[in-house]
Amino acid sequence: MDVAPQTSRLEIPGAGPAIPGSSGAELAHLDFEDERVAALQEQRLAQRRRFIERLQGEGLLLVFGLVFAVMWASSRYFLTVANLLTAASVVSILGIMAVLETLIVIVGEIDISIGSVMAATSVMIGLLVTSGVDVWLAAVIGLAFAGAVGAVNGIITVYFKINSLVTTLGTYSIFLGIAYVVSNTMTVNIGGEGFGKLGSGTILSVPVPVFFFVAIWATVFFVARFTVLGRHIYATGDSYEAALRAGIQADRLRVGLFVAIGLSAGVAGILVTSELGSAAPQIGDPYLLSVVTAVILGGASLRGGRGTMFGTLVAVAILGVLQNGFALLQFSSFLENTVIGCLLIFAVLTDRLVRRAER
Amino acid sequence: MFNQGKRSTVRFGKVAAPLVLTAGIVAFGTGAGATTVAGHRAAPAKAVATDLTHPTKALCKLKAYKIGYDVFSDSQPFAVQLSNGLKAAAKSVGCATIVETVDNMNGTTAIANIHTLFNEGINGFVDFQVLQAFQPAISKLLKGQKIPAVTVVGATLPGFPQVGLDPFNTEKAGATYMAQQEKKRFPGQIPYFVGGAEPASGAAVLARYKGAVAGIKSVFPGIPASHIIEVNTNGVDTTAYTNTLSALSAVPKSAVVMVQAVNDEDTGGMYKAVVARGFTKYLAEGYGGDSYGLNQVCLYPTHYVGDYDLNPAGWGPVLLSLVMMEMNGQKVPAVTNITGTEVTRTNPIAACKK
Repeated sequence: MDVAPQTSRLEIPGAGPAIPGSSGAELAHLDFEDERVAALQEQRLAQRRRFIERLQGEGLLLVFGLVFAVMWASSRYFLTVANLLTAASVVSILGIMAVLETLIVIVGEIDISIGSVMAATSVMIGLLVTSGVDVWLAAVIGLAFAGAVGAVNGIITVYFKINSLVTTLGTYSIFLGIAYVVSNTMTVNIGGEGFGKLGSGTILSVPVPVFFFVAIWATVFFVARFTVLGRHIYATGDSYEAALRAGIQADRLRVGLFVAIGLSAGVAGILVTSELGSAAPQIGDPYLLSVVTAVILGGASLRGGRGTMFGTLVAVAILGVLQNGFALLQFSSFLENTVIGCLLIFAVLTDRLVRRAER
Repeated sequence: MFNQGKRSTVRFGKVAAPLVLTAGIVAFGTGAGATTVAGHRAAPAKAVATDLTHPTKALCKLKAYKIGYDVFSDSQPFAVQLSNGLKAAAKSVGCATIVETVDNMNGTTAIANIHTLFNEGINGFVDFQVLQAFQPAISKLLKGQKIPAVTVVGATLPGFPQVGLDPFNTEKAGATYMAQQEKKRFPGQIPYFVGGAEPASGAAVLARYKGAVAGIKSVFPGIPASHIIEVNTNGVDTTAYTNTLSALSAVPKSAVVMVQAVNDEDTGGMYKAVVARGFTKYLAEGYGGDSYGLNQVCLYPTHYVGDYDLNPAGWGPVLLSLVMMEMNGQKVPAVTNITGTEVTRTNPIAACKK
């Protein structure tokens, strides 16, 4: 959220000159000069901030365009409807979690347990199905479990005042460990034709996971942009103390967001289990850092209070194009990591510049 | 320092095992030649005392065998099954105890674990540490304490006998079988081979991928380069799925697609990607022989031509036999190669329901 720098001066009507020995007219002239200089300075800072923000926002689009063009030029298979839909399908799982992670980051927290929540959800579904529970019921139970993990993360972070990085690092280890122990590290097959369609089916040639992503992204975009709840999220992330003074139920809000991201990891776990047709404790591994990467790349600030759904959408698209293009061209995955690392540093540096411009 | 022969090979597999084992036994006796060993799925050979795959109480010459065991992971499926096999074998022998440590692929931790195991009074050691750079230091420590040891490769332990598979030729065998099946089912069609690789996992795993490509080329010598597609799986089925999904954009829908990766889970992910992209002519070949891979052969009998079974649980008894023999002062081969078996749905190992 953009917050204007606080530069107004406190003036007390009827108060005399603050500097002994100076006349009122002289002081009034000095005050006027000061204000003019301050206003000019503020204007310059605002221009600089807007420029950097444009660099951040439009720069991201530029990067997307550049990556897209390079892949287009490099592979004749890239710019086909089937391939682009495939790329969209691949990043949808990442996108579902990135959208909710963006809200968590805007509110000034972080959740790095999502990979293990995904894995634990998948393993739970596997266990339930192998013990005879209907796969859909197993999925619902798995989703409820994921939401409960989110609630645990939220309660520990908010009411016990533990840094969310530490909390979710702890729960990441706990639930990943449980997933491995309970599954005995084995991958189990999950049957069910209908359930399989959830992750790998299509509607009008569009992969089903894309619909999940679009629906969740649009909902969160609307909430963040046009509702009171969205404003409260930005306000809490910008200044927790000020949000409390303004009457915002910041603690409940943060716990609620942790539950929401837990649920999003649960949905992702269900979709991956469905598309692979199997449950395994390793399934969350590729998402451990890529979700946070997408959020930061999208311009959300780890200090809270700043970030947009559009930025996250573009960042997810960039990661999707990179993944798809590198797989198509059979480029080294190490090179892909290098490119993503460079983009991440670019995103963090521009955020730092915006912060500096605000001071 | 330790009595070692030159090379032995151990084969897993129901039919071939007893014959090959006999060859192995001869090799021990002469201290030369090669040995092939088969795992617990094979029937016990007659010469029980020297059957590496079925160690017995006859190996118990000392009062106690406290054997340290450092493993790179307690979650990676192959390592878990191997560890379970080792512990089960020790239990069945009765006189051996396994003291396990896990280094989580951290060489410094592995070295610290060795010191801990020394403090616990081990008199034998089984090494399943996979970072080659740290093996010389571990070797030096073991030699300093005069502890007999055997290593699982991955990474060789200088001066100590090793047990391992031939990554290139085992994967080549599986890929060759799949390519032959393709030739039978789709005569005249040059297939696309999508191979799962893990470039970050080092030379031994890379050799598996290269073996697979060599297997395909042995059946289709003129296959165009564009028909061989390398997909990075990072050893995770999710990544195998997503990267294969993308890579398949370069393959015409009417083509025959064959997939094989360096482990069962990755192959499973790749197989699902082929299905999701709507191909109608496709084959898959698993590699590893864990329960998931074998189950795939039963679940998808028309497309999963087989699973190359390395039977990791069967490696444990071989390791135990070797280290106990060393501790007894017996001669052991410097290299024991384990080969696998192509398991199709008609093979009893797959245990497909009829």
